[in-house]
Amino acid sequence: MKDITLGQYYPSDSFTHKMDARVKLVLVVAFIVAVFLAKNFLSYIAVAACVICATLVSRIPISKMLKSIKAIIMILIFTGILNLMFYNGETVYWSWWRFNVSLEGIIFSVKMVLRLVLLVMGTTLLTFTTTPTGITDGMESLMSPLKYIKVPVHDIAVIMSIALRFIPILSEEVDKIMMAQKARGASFDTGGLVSRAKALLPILIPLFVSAFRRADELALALDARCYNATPNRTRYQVMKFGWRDLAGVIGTAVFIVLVVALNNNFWGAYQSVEAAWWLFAV
Amino acid sequence: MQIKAENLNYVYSPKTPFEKTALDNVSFTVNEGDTLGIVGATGSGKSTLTRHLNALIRIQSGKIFLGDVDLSAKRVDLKEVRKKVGMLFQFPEYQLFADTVKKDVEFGPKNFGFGDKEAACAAEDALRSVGLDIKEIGDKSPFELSGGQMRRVAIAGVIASKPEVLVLDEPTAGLDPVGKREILSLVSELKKSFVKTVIIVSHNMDEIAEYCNRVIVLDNGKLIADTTPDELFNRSDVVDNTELDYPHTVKIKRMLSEFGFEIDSPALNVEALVSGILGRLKS
Amino acid sequence: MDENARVSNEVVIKADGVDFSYRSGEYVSRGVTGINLEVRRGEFLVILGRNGSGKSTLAKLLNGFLIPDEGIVTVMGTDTADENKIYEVRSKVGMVFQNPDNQMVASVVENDVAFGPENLGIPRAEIEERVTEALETVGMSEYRKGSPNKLSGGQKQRIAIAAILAMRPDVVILDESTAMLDPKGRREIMDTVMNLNREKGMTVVLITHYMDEAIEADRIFVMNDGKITASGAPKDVFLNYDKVKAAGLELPVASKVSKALIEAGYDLPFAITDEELAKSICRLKQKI
Repeated sequence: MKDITLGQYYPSDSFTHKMDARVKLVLVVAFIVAVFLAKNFLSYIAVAACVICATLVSRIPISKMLKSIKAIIMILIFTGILNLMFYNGETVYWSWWRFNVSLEGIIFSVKMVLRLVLLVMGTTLLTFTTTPTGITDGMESLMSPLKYIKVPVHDIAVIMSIALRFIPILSEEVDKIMMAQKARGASFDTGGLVSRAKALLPILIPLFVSAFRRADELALALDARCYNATPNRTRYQVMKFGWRDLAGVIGTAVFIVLVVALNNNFWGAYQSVEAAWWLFAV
Repeated sequence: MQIKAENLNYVYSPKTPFEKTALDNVSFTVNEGDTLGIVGATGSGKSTLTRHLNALIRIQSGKIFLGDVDLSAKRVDLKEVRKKVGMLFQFPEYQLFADTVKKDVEFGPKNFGFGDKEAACAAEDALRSVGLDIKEIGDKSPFELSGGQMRRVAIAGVIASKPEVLVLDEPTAGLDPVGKREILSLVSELKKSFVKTVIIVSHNMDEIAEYCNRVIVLDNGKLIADTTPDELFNRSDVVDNTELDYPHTVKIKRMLSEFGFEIDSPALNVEALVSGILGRLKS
Repeated sequence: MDENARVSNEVVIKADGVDFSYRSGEYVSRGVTGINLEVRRGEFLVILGRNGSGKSTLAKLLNGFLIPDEGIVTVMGTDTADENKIYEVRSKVGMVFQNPDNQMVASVVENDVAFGPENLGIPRAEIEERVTEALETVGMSEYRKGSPNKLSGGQKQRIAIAAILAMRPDVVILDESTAMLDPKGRREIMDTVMNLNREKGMTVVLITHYMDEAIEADRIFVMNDGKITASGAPKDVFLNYDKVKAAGLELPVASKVSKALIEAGYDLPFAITDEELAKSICRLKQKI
């Protein structure tokens, strides 16, 4: 009954949803680089604008995005306070024992928090707009050159795909086993640490037994479907680099150029052109 | 002990896009001595309903009374409730975990506060009533047993704490004909001793027809019939609209009546069908 | 398809004097002994037996999952013990298992169906064609882009059948593929199997403990304790109640009823389907 949505794919028919998963993966990496490139507030604004544009294009509700930030709110607060306290700035406002709150500290911690928020927004945008299967397929495709140095790319992809398929099945099973043991009077939330850990055995053992039994049958099923029959395996799913992908790449490139340019307060703009070439070359 | 459910409602993941109503204003009563069948298509709310009966799911709205215990009250003694209402899940052999059969069967009784000696006695009794000898298999690992034996050990694990009410979710799923008969006659035997009330959830109408004296039908979370098997399988409107099936003997009876050979008796099992046909042939 | 044209004399699988037992260390447990059987092209063959009778062991011998200790199994002339040709054997003899959840590898239906042909190195365009055809055959085309997680047991099992069909096998073996399903799911699978055999002429071997699934078989093999104890057309086998009972199986309801009526002294033929029974009772009534 329980609806388990793996990852957090948000079904829609938007521009971003229709993009090639490989391109989205590369762009997210590029975006992460851009976040770390950003030095001053102006360039941070450029990165933020990039995320906001991407969010608008992908038609993900703003509330959804905010929720993903809410999930890491504790980490944000922690990072902010830590940086605030320990940054050795010159313009000290307040000081106690080893803690100094300075103007530079405030600026630095705001930047750090901003950086985290932007990173999370960018990466969740990927998981919101790409199915887990899409991400696996995209990774397999991007990693395929590794085949030539004998990395079993395809096996890794099959393993990931099977894992994706079985996570919801097994989590439903945990639910059932827990219910069954509760019906036999087991309780999982009383007692000390040791007795709580012990109380988990009646769940973990049946779960492992079941996982092994499933693995056994799955192995037969893979054999029945001639897994590893030929090294010249073909692929059914083909990914196409389309106009949307080109638009996405250009858009992201523009923002990266902007970030680098703003970093150097416009004068170093020529450097950014080089960075843009780098992106196009990929 | 009477079980009474009043205006039960239950919604999964409320206020999200995945919101799903599982129970919609369900009320019914089970009297002591009943063997109640709960039927309905997959996803009609049967599991949600049965899980309410021993407080595995918190009541969202409505009330359930087990005798005079109100399950919707703020403080409910969960152990007491779960001891009284034993629940056997589908494919119960998948919940076995202990290193010996004996320990697994004792798990329930010990959780419910039985002493070591009491629990050992309870395990021995329970294994005996499912047709297994504690001396022979008590020290074996449950995972060494055959599928049919494992299921019986799992049943022993539930009945060892001597529940008054036994709830069975698809107790015969996956068993062969002999295994099915064994489990169902075991349930009938238990009903003659300490188990006062049996509730069976099943897709198998032959079993419902043969073993239940009452049956309730769920459809999309609504209770749409509360009746006897005989009546239910005469109401083709209910059966056909809820993806239910007729017991095989009733199918034959209906086919005969299409051919103009009417039988008056309910024909819920082979003997009844045969005697109905014989009666008609003689008249 | 014409009844006589459907089953040909060509033998696709042949088991000759097969013995097999499971070994782990010194512990040997009985599998099957003295198995002789032939599967003919286009035939619907049912292997019946209770749990532990050896019927699944037999199934696994027919596509080279298990190799006989004694005797020989050949698939269209190829010995299943020949390791170099094992994939050839398995692509000809497709197998569907009991638990539909444990035989799917992908999170999208069409990708799962395409998995077999991909492994065989079939060109992309043809895979596309095969996936479409296989999903159509099992009546699941509309779920092509969906996730298998939300489907019912019967629907998942139909996808599993489609996944085997996409490899274009000569024989499909269903190893207790109905055992975990509810009656509705079982009916879906039986309809699919009958359609496959009667309309597409696919050779089907069905392993089960449900007698009523054997009613429409061309031939039945009853297994008990690792041996084939009865074989033949369904009616002939069911008439042999003692052997059926000894194997831990039950007659179909129609047979039980007609047997009871015959024993009560009425003159009517032994029936195996509901319709046969109903018609013969009506005829009897008219005579009286």
